[in-house]
Amino acid sequence: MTAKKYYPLAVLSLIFSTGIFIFGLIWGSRENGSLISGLCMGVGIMGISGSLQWLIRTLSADGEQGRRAEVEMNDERNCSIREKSAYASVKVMIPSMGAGAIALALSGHFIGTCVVAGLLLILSICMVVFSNYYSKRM
Amino acid sequence: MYVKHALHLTLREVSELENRLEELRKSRGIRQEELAETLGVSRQTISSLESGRYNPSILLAFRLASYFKLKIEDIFIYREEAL
Repeated sequence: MTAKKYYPLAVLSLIFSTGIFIFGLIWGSRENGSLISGLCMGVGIMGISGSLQWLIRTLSADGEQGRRAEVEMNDERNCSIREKSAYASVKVMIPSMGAGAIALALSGHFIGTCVVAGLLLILSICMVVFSNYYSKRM
Repeated sequence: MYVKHALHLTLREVSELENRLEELRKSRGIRQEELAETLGVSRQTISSLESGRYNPSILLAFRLASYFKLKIEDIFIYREEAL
């Protein structure tokens, strides 16, 4: 688990990522649909999500609280809950993304359709690859 | 093959796992938190096990049996109603 000394770095990373996201948002409102704006917003969101996870880990890294967090993380019931909820989420996301791809295709957004269809393809490939991997290991 | 499949479904529908965890824990005056701490699981897991909402992995079942110095089948009772 990450030590508490990384807390300032995690905060800095969160501030920096939020800054990039806001910059992308402002840039996008000025120049409608520019590539830089989309790039900044995407990188910003990824950074915010990663920084938040890092921040949570650093906050509960040491002492009794850290040990409890580790027990909660490795607890078999919690692992089972995570697996089931991830499976249920994927089951909901696949038809949702399919519907999204069809809606984008019908409204003539070629790039959007390609992105959503690509994500669906990656998801399907991952499912096949991981299924094969775990069927050989288990 | 169909008969075997139907038999399997019937067994799966009616079989259940009961346990004496709450009874054993209370008879020894142990709190859920203490048991969870010793076994390295969360208190909610102990609570779910006791209420029968969650069935443990074989490893946790062995750890519980070892903790209470009993056999697994003395703690967990497998019931098969049909057939």
